[in-house]
Amino acid sequence: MMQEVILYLFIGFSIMSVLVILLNRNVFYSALALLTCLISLSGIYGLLQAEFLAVTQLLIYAGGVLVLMIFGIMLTNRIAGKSFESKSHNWIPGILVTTSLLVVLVITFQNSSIKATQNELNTGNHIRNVGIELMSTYAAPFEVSGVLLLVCLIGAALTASSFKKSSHE
Amino acid sequence: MTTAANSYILWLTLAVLGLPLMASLSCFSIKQKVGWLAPLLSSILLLIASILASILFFQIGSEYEVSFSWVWFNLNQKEIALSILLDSKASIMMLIVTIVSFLVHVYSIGYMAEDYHQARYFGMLAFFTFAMIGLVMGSNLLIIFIFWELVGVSSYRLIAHDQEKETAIKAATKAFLLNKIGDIGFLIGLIILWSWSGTLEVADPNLISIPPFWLATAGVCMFIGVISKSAQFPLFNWLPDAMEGPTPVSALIHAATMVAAGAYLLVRIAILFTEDVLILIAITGAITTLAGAVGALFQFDIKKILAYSTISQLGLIVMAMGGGAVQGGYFHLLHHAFFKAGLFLGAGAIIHALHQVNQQSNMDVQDIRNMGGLRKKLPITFISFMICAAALSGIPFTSGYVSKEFILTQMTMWAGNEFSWRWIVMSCTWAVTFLTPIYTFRLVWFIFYRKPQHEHNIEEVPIIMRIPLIVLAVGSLAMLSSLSPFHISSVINVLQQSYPSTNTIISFVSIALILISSAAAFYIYKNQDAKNQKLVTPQYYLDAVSNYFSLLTLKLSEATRWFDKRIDFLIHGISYFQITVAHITGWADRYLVDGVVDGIAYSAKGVGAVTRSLANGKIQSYLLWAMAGLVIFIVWILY
Amino acid sequence: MSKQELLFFFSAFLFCSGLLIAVTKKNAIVVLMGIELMLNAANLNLALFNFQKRGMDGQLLALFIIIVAVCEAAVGIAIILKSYHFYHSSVLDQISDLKEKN
Repeated sequence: MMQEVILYLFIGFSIMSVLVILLNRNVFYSALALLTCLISLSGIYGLLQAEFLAVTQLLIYAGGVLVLMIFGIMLTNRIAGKSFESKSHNWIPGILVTTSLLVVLVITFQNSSIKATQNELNTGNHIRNVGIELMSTYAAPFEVSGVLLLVCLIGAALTASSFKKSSHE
Repeated sequence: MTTAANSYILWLTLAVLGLPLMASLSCFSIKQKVGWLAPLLSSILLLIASILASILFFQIGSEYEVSFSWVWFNLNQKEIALSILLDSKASIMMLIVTIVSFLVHVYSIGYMAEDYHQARYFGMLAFFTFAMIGLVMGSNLLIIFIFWELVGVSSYRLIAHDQEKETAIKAATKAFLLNKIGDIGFLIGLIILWSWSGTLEVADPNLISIPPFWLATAGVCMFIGVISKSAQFPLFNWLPDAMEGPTPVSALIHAATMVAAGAYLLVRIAILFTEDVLILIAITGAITTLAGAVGALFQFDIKKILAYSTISQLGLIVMAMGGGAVQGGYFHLLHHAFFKAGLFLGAGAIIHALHQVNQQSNMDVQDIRNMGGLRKKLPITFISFMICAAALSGIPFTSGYVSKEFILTQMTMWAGNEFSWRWIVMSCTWAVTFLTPIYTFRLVWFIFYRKPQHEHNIEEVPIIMRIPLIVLAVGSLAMLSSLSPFHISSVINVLQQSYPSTNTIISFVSIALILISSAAAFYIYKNQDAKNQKLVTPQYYLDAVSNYFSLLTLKLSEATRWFDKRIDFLIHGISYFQITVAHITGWADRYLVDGVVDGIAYSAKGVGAVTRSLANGKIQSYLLWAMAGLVIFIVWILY
Repeated sequence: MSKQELLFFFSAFLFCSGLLIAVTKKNAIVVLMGIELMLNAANLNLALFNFQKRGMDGQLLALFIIIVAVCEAAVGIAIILKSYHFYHSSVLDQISDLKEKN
């Protein structure tokens, strides 16, 4: 009972923050709302017994990506001397497409067999199991993602840095 | 042949192919500071290559046929092989190519001494040789095609060697583009052969076991390639323009590498050509040879005269190959390499000598009207030029005579006793035999014998340029290819087929013809001075003819005017009728035809406007439409 | 409505609103946020599957998605910075080189 209340709380938080992102115009507020949304999502992960995922979500999204984005906002909007205003467009076709997509998804879900599956409780030390799986079954993707991170690090650094040759000014 | 001997020959072959490439690469990598090294290095490597080629030639002799092949790649169980086929024809061609190229290299050391881009020049020269050798030895048509293209590219670079000269660049582009036409033909031929027979080996009997129609089509396509490369009738324009390149390059292009490639290909893939294609080849050759000879008569640029003579001689060769005289044509190709290279290098020596003196004045040093009386001043050039010119005109005791007489004999026998279209082709052969000495000795007379037009203190060219001239002149004498100067019983029995018995009458007639025409040419031009000069310039005759024409036209017009008045009335009637018709047509055109066209254009514009509004360059709109498409797709798939 | 059903609907909503943000907002960084939201919706689904079934597959897949998302965010921000230097704007509307010039 307690769990369910917490779950509804998290869901409510994230829906609200998503609405804030959608409707407000200030980019900085959007980033903060995204932070709320991500933290509540990590709580939902924890309730779904994916503790490692929840911690990763907190660390990487809330800690890493959000900071990156806030830096991005600072670097791009300040220089222009404008406020953090963000305009929007395409509302009518966008809402049409997304609501139709939502309807399609809901109908598909209603017709599918996924909702009928019952919960078999996973027991035991989940984080330990994650580690074992990561080093045995998922060893190859793990290595590959390491390489991907390295490449992305170099790529991002090279792209953002302004060498004499690559800068256009 | 034993395996050991085989591998020995293989290594020799690869060395002959590799040395020019090595020379080219080392020339390109040499620094500007030690640029003087490039000519020496490439000449020495080419010398080694030509020595190896001669060893190879004597090893192969006339009996063996050696082939090597390595699988290059597989396509759908059909393999393409890097293959080499060495028979007597290929090995003698390699020998000629390397020797002529070596001599041109040596000559260029003197000729290009003041050029700043020497390293590039010699590198391209060696690369040109490499490409030609690869073409000669290759046995897979794809390999031949690759080297064929390399020949084209390097000739392009060499013609445009003087990059500051706009005409040179234009000439090079023209040569390149005209050659591309032929390359397309070649490529289509390759595709046809590959799709029908599944092999591209020239020695593979499967190659020609395809439907006759397609075999003929492939043959025609390949012949289009030959047309452009060997400067045959519709596509020969690039050759005279290519004279913009340095003269030694012209020598190489005309003698051994570029234009010889096409004629060589005719020999290499002779089995492909069916009877009908051979007719086409013979007729093309006949047209080319006459056009070239006539063109050479009317030129005043020394190099252009030689260029037209090359076109003419190549036409002769191609005609001989299309007619019955394959061996004769091939012989002539080899001999032509020697004496034409000699002529070009001689011309280069003359230009070089004149250029040294007249650097300041604006005189065109290539115009033969500015020359004259050079016999005394350039004795060695004169002698070698004379020998090569004699070989070109086919005077006895020269190589040109031997092969030309061979072609004449074979063509006459091929034509047969009954009159047919073959007689026309054959008569072209004879006509060219008659015309060649005329333009050759016109050239010789203008350069060497005529009274000097300007006072020059010119000196003989440096010794390094004299040596190749002498070697080529000696090579143009008949002794190298046959013991008896009058017919071919060769020491170097290149083509092992039996030779037709020499027809004494034909020999006699041809000698007489050649001598008469040479003497006539000499006589006409020797007796020419200011007052009757007009008799020998073509413009004089053209003017006379046009005068008669204009008189005739005048008379005709008077007669017509009288007649005109009589039929004026009729014409009026006709014109009224025509105007009415025109009005009707105009109305129909405006409202019916234009209306349809406008309507189509309008609707196309409307469709375009709608489509364009989707592609407004905003990435989010693209994303939106993609998503909409995705939703529609999901709905369509699921329900 | 069970807990899981609710979560599925929630993830569908999250995905659609992420898409709406990515489509409607003009600022490039907000667009990036929308994309992150879409990825998170997918992650939520995977965590749900992991909850329903025995094994770790869903959770690990979500983990890899997070890794890829991090890379994407880093490179995306770098590109935005670069294009900001180039166009002096982080508004996607003004960056329309894909359009024909007329």
